[in-house]
Amino acid sequence: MDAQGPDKALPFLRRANCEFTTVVDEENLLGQLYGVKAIPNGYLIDEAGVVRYKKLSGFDIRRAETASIVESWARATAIDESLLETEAAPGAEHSEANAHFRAGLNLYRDGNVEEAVAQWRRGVDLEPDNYIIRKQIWAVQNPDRFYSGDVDFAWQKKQMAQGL
Amino acid sequence: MTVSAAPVVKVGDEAPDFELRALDGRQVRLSHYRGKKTVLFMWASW
Repeated sequence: MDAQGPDKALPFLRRANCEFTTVVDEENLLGQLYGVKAIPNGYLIDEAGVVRYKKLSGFDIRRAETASIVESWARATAIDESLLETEAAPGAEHSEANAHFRAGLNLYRDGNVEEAVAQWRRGVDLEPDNYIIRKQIWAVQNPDRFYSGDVDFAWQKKQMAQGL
Repeated sequence: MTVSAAPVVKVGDEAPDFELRALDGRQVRLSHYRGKKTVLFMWASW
């Protein structure tokens, strides 16, 4: 999910040597459709297209918990009910924040980077925990912290500590 | 700018269908995977 497009994802995928299909979501379609504000998220969907399990944030195959859920899901049909999470529906500010995200995206594509960032900033003001939007600002303003080798998560923690 | 309550996809809901482009250029729809168990994993390079 990167407003700057598929080129940004490719180097990471080559390093990971992925076998599964990867699609690029430049416009945060899934953020809007599924109501998510951060990643990594995992949805397990059955043969009829019904969601049987979801985890928002922290869905990481390197974690034993995630790996065992995905494995048992692949092998059987039942998901342990105790693993299911409940959450409140996102409010109207989620739609409004995403409207600013889309406005910023159009400006960015027209080359108006400062105005794009201003729109994204308004989205983040509305939804401070929307890291999908917040990280677009960080990545555009600090490409060296994202796209020159490894992502600098220590730097991101400092940003968060300062509320930036 | 229209403002309305956003959906949150819950367990038991049908996963909303979408179409996005894969890195090799082909269009992929979630509904292509009907009939199979699917893991939808959202991630980012950031």
